[in-house]
Amino acid sequence: MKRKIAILITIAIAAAAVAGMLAGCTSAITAEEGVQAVMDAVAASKAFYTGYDAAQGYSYYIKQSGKSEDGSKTETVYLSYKKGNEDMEWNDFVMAKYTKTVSDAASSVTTSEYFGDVLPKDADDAKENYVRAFVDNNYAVKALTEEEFLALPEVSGLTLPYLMSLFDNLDKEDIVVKEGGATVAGAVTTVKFSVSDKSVPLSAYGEVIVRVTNDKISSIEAKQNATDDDEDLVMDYTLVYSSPNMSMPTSYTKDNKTVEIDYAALA
Amino acid sequence: MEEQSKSFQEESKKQGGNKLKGLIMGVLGAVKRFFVDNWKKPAEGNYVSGREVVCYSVGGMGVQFIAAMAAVVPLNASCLLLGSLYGITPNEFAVIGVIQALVLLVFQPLKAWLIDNTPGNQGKARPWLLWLSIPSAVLLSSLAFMDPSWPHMTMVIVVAVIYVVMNWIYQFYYSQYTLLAYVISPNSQERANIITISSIVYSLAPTITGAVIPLLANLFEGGQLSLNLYRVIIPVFCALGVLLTMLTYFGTKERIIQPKEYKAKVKFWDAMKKCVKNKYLWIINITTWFQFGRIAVTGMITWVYVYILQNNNIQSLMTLVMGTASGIGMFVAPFVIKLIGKRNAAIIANFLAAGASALLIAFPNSLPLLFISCYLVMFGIAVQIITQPAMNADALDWQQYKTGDRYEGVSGNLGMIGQAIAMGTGLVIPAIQEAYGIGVGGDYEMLYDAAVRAPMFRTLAILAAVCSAACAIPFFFWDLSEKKHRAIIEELKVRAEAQNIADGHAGESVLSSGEELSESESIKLEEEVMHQLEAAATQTEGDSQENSAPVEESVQADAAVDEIGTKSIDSDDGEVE
Repeated sequence: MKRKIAILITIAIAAAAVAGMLAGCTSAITAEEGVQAVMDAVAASKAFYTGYDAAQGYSYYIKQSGKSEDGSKTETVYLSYKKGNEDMEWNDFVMAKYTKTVSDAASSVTTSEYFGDVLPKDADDAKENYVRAFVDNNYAVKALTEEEFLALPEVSGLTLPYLMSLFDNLDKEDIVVKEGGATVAGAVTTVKFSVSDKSVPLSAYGEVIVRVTNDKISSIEAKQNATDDDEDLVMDYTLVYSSPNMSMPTSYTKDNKTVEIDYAALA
Repeated sequence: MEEQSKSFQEESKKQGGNKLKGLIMGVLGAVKRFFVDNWKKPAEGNYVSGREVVCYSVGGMGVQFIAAMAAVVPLNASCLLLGSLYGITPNEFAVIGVIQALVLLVFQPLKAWLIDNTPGNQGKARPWLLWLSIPSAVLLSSLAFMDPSWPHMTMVIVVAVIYVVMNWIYQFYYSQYTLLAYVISPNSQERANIITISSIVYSLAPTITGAVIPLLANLFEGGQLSLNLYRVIIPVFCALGVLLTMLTYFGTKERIIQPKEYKAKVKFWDAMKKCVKNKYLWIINITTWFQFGRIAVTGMITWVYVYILQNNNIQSLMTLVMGTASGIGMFVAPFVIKLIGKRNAAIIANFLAAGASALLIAFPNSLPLLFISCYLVMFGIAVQIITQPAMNADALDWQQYKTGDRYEGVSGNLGMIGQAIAMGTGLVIPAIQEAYGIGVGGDYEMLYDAAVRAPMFRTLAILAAVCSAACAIPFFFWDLSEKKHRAIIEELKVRAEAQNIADGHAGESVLSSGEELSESESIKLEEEVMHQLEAAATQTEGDSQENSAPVEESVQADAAVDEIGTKSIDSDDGEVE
């Protein structure tokens, strides 16, 4: 009995040690493989919104993290975007939400802006009854085109096409991978590099860190100078090729009263 | 023929109706006995009154409210507060997990010593419940008040320090509630019943928090990803937990079978040498080594709610539904135990969890299947919530039978091996999550993408299935049957009574609580002891006549006690040899 227990313990500890060693195991890949991974991922990410199936549409979610202007708070902004409505066979249906959260130890304040196709209250659920509206963070409603919404200063830096434009003019030869800067861990490939071609927007940064998950760009980070600490990122984007559920607001609370939002005025 | 068939059907309906009526009457009778007949005085053969069971159970809700808040800040990537809001990555969680496991390991002997040498005379479990409730609550609450603007490493270090200290204190506090179940009664079936009743009652706590928190989240912009939500719920529920814990302390007693003059003097190495020979404690410990993987899928239920379901109202409903899995599992456990024994119940429960997890290997993207799988796994785990402490208590009784001492604290040191193993296995699930891109760089929004999360769910389902099966296997070696355990308890009572007689405390209580046994039990015990004393005294007298030396009565009694102590219970039918 004692020997059986001792053997069992030894096997379990050895298995746990191996599991521990393998866990988080990152293996290096060559610089060429890293470069190829980045180029392929950029192409796949661009194809996501240029070559999508119109009947199914597409959606994405972008998060950007950083400090407030005075550096005392954390600011995180998100853009959720959805194009197309399969149920209504509506290829140009749009729904988008911009959210900003400013936090510190004492408080966390979140505000949102909405843009999209919405049914005014009591209207029949038919495509022709929908109106396209923009709701700002004070719940004021106005008409806006999609181009105007995506050009808003707070939104324009969060769209997928904008982020992919950071890689414009990028060729394989322009990518200078940092020594040991190309690694793979499971489905995630991480490449740290700088860009030699000044016509590429990313060349403005001393070091760019790109993560590729499921063959698409999932994260773009950048330091102003290659020697900066990992904490001193000047760019920190997360890209997800799907979005959470969202809908246009129908009411809000003001002075402890519920106020209904009337979209009919835009019809 | 037709008439015969009709009358047969009517007879069957009548019999079915009678059976149902009988069942309902049986249940009502049991409820009446609990709340009326045995409210202040326990039933014949039992030791704990209905009122004390209620105090233990409702007080358990207090422990579980604090546990529910600890579950809101688990040390893994699915934690919305520490992960999604504070940005701690899966690998950083894993490192903090290793540190906290090391701390638990290093300080386990201290905890064991503190338990077995608890100051005062209020027992081993209840005092620590009282003393540790407030520090647990305060430290847990403090985790919600970190500053998100801190540099990342500062955040990780501060959270790590608070978490490690909090976790040691909280785990100590939480374990004492379970320990109290081991010592509240020497009757194994009664212990299982009390564990069941208390588990059903106290499981209301996480069900309440699971239903209320998503609804409260609707009041905060950002929902469950709002920091302000946690700054409200954690302090409130922790305070409620402390208040209810007082009910357990003031409303319960500990009952160990021991002679009146017994004084526990637990020497660490001496106790350890004895505990390592207890194969039953080994079986229970070995099964815990694999429990980390059993919850690989259910551990992600919060992600399922937030990133897949995305509906706080349905989440609230689903939490209630999922809560029934544990409630039903714990409710049926004593019946299952009575029918097939604790060993078989534990084996079947774990194989059920294995099968349920295996379902997801084929369909990792199916939301309904995910809920069904989680439901069945939770059901299986709930059955083991009843069987495991009950079996642990039986193992401790066996220990007392074999060596004469109670080692509630030191026996926990065998768990140190499991903690060492857990430092490696604790890295497995985070590694799988990060390998699929979840939580890398502190980003969990990847979970919105089914193409990213489905392969991860499949891998975790495989891990859960394998580990659940591994949890079942050690129980095939468990041969401490219910009948054998009953014989052990009777033997312990005889020894304690004989020692009382030898020490001049004839007729005094053999329970540490000082309570008397029931009249019939006392008479039966006295008769058994006198019979054995006489038999042993006759034997001793025969020996002393050969030596031709006068023998004093107390020495004769001591020799008789030693004689009783050497009897062994080895056969499976529980007969004393």
